[in-house]
Amino acid sequence: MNDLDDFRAALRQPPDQPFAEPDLDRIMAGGTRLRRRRRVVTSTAGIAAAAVVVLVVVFAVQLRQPAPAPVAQPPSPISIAPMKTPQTPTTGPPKARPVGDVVGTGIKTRAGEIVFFAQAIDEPQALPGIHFGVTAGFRSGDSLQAALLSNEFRGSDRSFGFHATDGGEVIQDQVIPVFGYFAGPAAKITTSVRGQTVEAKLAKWSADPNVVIFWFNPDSVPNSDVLTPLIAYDGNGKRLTK
Amino acid sequence: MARGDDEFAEFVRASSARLTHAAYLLTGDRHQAEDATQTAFTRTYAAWSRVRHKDAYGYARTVLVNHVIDGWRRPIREYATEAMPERPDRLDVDKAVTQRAWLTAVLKTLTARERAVVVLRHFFDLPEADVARELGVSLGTVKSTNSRALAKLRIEADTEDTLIGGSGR
Repeated sequence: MNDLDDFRAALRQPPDQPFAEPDLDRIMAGGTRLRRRRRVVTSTAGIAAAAVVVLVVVFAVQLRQPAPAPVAQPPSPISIAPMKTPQTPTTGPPKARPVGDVVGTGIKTRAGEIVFFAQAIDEPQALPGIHFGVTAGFRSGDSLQAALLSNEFRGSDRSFGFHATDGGEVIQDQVIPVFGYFAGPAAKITTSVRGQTVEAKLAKWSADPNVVIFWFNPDSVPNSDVLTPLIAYDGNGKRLTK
Repeated sequence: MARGDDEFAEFVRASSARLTHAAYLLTGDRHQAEDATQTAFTRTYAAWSRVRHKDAYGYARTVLVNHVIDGWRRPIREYATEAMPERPDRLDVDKAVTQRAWLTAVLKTLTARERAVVVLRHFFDLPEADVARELGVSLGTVKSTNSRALAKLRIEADTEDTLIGGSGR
């Protein structure tokens, strides 16, 4: 046995007192919160597409039946209210509906340029203080495709500070950068990855310049697990967050 | 509890002691270690559907190590010292407590990266290439960091654990 073997044995020597057991309930509650603040838009799109199919079926059934009397329209047997999209087209894929300008990143993928844009959220029961979220998507020519919508899920969507940090994973075969938004006059946002400071790219939201959309280059920040807490600075370099 | 939750609970039971032990070696503080492990499990649970059928343990280990490393601040964590703690007699099994104290003291003389490399390489027994991947550094950096750490600890390394070719930076 040499020194290194001794050292390895010392490293593996059990502690004199056992460590506290992890709090499983707290772990699951915290993990659930992490999951809940994001929605992969592909699943939303699936729901919308299914609703379009329902609409097409309804129209087809109506075509086969005699035209109803022009008065006393019965209520529709199929409610599409949960979609909250009265302008849903009856053909083609659901389209992303940006609120304000679409922000280009310059990051090209096979699905198009990665872009970010805000989308309206209208869930007064579940999310009364939340009226928008930031979506990562792809822009190719005139086509705009949503990939991941992230939104605040507690309190107000424009309370001062960071909101809806998400991304850093592969969706639709493309790497979506870590992104989110800051409500406040942020001119610079940084984090550190393995001890190295990394600065985010920023873009003010055209619908509310006090909201700053940020994202990190995936080469520098591969996923959100490697982040340290984000730090925002104003235009004078003054730190805005603790 | 859903089936996935049952699996996760079993995963936590099976892996928490080893991960918390590693966190303790990385932080040198029981409470910090327990908090770091709790955080690593929380993030692992958030990603459970993605990682449960892959290498969930490896995922949790990576999250844990990076979480601890990023919580470090070099000026605070580097403990420059001229005098190394006296090493206990390795044959004296009754000196386990002394050995633990020695280990804690010598680990504190290492930088964050050195400590992470030592724990991943010699506690988890990961190959150097895997250590490099987990820490996002080159293989040469792992070799040189490991070699430097062992030299600081005045530990005679195996040939495989010495720097070869000087490719590290």
